[in-house]
Amino acid sequence: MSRRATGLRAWVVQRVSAAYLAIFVLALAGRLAFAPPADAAAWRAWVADPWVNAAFGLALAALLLHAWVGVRDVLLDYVRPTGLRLAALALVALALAAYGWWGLRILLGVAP
Amino acid sequence: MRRNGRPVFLDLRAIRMPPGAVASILHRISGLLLFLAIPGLLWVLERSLAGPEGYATVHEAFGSWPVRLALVLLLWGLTHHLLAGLRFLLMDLGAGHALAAARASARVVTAAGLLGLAVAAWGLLA
Repeated sequence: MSRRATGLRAWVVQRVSAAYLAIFVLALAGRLAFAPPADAAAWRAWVADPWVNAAFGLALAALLLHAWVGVRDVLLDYVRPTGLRLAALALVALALAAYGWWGLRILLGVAP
Repeated sequence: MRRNGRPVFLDLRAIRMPPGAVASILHRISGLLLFLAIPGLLWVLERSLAGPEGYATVHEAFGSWPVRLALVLLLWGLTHHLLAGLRFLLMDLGAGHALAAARASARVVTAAGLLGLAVAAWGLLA
């Protein structure tokens, strides 16, 4: 069987990241709706908790990967001129990488 | 750019849009909206964690009408994208492929998204 670009990896990444994000978003929404942190310090302490911090970090990674697969699909479908498409894809990739770096700095900057 | 000379038909007003098509295109649109919101969300996260002044800044921002409007739109986006996405995941697992079931689930998802929009608007704008 020859190796080809079937899109399977992107499909799996999209689904797995979606599943994690669904759970994370629902858990976060539940927490904020039913037991919101009392003030700035409580919020900071919660995000600084090692497990919560890790969960946020994973959510950020999942979000960036999920967004990449999704936006790439849209660009591939609608941007026909090759040069323009490549430029758009590159811009999106750069933006997502920058968001990743920014998010990492935010999460690592919350000292426990 | 059409290189093969074949006819094109893209009159969106004339092309039929069954419930599945509506759910699907809204899934794309909501996804793009959420993507555009990422820097905003990161800003909120950063400011809110930067101490009591930052937290207060975020709180204040959430009080303004343009931000609330944006939040309503984003909450719709999140609701629809999440529910339509779950519908797709379930269909991946083989559930609800039959035409009737697929159309029903598409309608439910789109309606639930609009319900979410109404709830968000009522909660944030009323």
